Amino acid sequence: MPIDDSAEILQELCSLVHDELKVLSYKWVARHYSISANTAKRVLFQLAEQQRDKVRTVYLVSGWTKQEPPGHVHRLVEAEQLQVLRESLGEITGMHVYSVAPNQATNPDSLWQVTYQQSQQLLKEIMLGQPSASAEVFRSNSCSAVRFAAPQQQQRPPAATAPTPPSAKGAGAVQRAAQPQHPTLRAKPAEADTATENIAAQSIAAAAPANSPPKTEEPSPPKAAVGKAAGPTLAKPNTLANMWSKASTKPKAAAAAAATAALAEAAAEAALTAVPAPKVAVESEDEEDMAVHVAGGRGRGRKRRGAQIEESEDEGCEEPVAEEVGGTAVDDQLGSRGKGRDGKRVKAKGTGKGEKEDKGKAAGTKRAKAGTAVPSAPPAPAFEAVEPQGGDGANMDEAVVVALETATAVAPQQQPAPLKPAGGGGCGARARKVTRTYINDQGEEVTEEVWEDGPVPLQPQQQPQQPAVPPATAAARVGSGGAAAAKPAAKAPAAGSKTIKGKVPAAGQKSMTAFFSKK
Amino acid sequence: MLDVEGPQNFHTHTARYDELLAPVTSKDNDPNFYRAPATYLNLDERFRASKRTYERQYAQLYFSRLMLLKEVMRTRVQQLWPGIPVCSILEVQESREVAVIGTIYKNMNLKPSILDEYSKDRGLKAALGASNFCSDNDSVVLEDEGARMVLSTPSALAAAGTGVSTSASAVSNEPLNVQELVTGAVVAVRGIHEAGGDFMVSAICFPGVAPNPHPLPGPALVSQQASVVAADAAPGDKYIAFASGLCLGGSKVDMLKTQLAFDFLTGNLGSPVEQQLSAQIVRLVIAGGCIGQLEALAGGGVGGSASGNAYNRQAQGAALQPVRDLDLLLAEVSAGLPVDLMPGTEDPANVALPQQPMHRCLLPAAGMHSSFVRATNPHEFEADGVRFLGCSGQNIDDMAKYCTIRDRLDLMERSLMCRHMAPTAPDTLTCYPFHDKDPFILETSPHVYFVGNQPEFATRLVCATAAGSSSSSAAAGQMVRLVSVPSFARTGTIVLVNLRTLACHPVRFDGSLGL
Repeated sequence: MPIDDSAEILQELCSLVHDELKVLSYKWVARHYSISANTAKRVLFQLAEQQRDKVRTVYLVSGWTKQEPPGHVHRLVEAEQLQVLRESLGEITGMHVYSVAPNQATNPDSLWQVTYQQSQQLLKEIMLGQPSASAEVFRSNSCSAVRFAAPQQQQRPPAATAPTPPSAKGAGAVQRAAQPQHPTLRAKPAEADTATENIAAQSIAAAAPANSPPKTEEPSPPKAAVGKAAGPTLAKPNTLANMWSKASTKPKAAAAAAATAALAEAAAEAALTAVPAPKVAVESEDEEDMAVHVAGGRGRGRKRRGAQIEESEDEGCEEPVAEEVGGTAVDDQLGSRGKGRDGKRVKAKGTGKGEKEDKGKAAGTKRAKAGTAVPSAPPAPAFEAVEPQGGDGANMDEAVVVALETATAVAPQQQPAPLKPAGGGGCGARARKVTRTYINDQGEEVTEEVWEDGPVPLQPQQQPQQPAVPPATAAARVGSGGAAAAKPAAKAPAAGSKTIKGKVPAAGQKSMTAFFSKK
Repeated sequence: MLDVEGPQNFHTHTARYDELLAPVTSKDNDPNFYRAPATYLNLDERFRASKRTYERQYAQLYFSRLMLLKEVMRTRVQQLWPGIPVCSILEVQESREVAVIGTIYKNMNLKPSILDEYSKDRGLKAALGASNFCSDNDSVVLEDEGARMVLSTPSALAAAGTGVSTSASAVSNEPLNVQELVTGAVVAVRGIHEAGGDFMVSAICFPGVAPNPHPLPGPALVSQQASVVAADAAPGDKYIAFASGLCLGGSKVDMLKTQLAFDFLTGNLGSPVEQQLSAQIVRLVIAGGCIGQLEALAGGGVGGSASGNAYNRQAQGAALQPVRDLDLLLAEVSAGLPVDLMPGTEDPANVALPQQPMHRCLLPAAGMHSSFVRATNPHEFEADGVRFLGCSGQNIDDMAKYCTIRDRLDLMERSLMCRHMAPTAPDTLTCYPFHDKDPFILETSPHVYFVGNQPEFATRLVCATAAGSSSSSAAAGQMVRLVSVPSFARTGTIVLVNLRTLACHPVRFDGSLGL
């Protein structure tokens, strides 16, 4: 290392010792500045010489004891006793500064604690998949004078081998995978539009009337939907990718939102692929909400496959399609949900949006939160709870909200709905989370939670269904659609839940804050 | 014979000790060493178990042990006591000198029994503790597949109670010394069945140290006795480092010391001379005892986690701190050199021998390194042709409870003599109920037999005798290096074993700042 560089380090170390009263061990220095340990020792020696009386220096002395047989020792010693120790040893093979500490009484443990904390910190960085330069030094031991390459040269990534680290790595991968998808994302809506015309029309037809029963005092007007629908598609790729990573670091995020998202997805998928969803949709044409339930199941299933990246990519491009196709009351609902989720996510990120927006979102956020608690619960009861609502001709929003509300709750006493058989099908396609234990080929017992009975291997990882509404679009929307755009949307779920609470007692008190947020 | 390496007189890197006590210069060319490579072969297979059933009785283990060692004993008896007929206990006739092969069972009053908790007076035993079960009125029973018989010695009083450990090499044909026997060992006794029903033993013989099919490569040990210099290190030597008993989270642990040791191993610590030595270490074997205390975890309610109580989770997190520390340490050290981690008594693995490797989810960070090997507890491996076998210390610690032998090396030697790593295994040492095999039998001797978590460092060379005399077989290279690896938390010592000479090189770390 060049001298001037070391001079800088020296200065910085000096301030660290004197101002922050830090105990600097050579290893800490080596890692912190990504220099070799031997250089760090010299730097510290320089520091100790410079500040001779102002710091306490601990030396490490290696050597052989005088007794017979001679023993090889490495001993730490304070500077004052250095001479004594040197005399007590027979042969000295090495001596260097171990640490430099401020000249004050310090906890003897601080000699190792600082280094230890640094190690912990670096390890954490590694496990999170964002190693800094220092963490790289930690991981590869590159500050050591002894070079070593692991046998197979393969440093497996943390996420691949270790089950415990958070899936930040996976998130990164998803993020990377997501970005190339955006071109198709733009291309698909058109194609989908034509292909799914009739099914989309169906869902619109089913959803639109559902939006206006007077008894639920549903305030969300269809006009809001236009702005809402536009929002998601306008989402910038960046934002979208961010959201993805966010969601996958919180694997359990908003499984319930899946149900709503699945509304749109069902429509899109019906056209794009020949999968159960369209089949069911055709079967129960007049009972569109039924198809929605089934599709919801599928949607949820698809959610959980999040770990399989290609799948999530699919979803990534289908989802905006769906929203475009829907483009009406269904999407209105989606939009409001999405907003709720957005609000939450935004909050979590701490980026914060306009006040107006936040206010409007508050209610939605609460709902989304209630929903997020859902994923591990067997979803069957939730859907039984939904059915009667659909049967009663309650609106779509309501049904969805009920699904959210009751997802975790034990199914309340329900009047069996006329649509039961179809609903059963929907439940069948759904997955249960099961703890499975088996012995792997290494003889170790492995216990993991897996999704069983689903149509596909499922993973609890989630993708947000609605891309974040960038502040610009959101503001524009508020401006154009009027205040009504944001506000009624927020109110919709609240209003829905209110009526439900009357009907489904168990679904009530999900969260106390939700109750207050209504007002 | 030099067992321990002294200061080295060569320094390939002509370094001054105070080389690092100098300011940074622009033309700093730090010497870089490259960690010596060595072949490595993991031989843990026989200690691994994929499927386990705990429905069987332990009697089968004794039985299979006897069956497996019987042939060995038979040839041994013929060799040692020619002309003496070998018969089973049921065939023994009165007043005729015979040899009988069987398993020893020691009747010990102080031995804890599961029935103890139902007995009325437990005061005495509780006071004595479980450190040693020996008492003066212990008696020995020999058991084979058909029956058991009481063994007695002509001068029982003279033999018993002396407690003097016999010279290590002469154990092959010795009078019965009750105090030195351990339950579970397969032996042959020679004697006469007396009218009273006792078997009067005139001599006892052990299976003896198993032969080693792979004599050490290189000139190795032949010259050992001839020249003391042989034990001295040479520049190209490679070492295996042994550490045990880190006791993270324990009361005695000194993290500074531990850090020093691991920094040394990774080549960070010390002057270039030390780093050179460190570069010669090809592998670190941690022989158990990494975790000092997990009681908090056991008590803190693993069951409590189900309720999701935040307090419990917190308490659990704190209780798991030692495991995280271990992970951190191992992640650090396995970046620098290959590491084998054996579980020990307190470690989070199964208790019964053979202990299976610690689960990888406990050590996520260390597991990222391909140089990190999670080993079983009796751990066997081969490095550069030298075969190592060892245990985390439970076996020897448990044997120590059965006899008056105090020296750990004597116990280890006894264990080699019995060709069994853990003779006391089903009795007071928990082990898996094997039924058709006994993985603890030493069919062949390792070159290095190590035991972890011992009170102090000690080492000795033992001859794998076929003939019985140490000097003659030494030439055949049939030597076993015994290494008692001390608990690091207690002694601050790690042991380096030279792969060429099998000499040991203890390195001590002291972080007490001379206080």
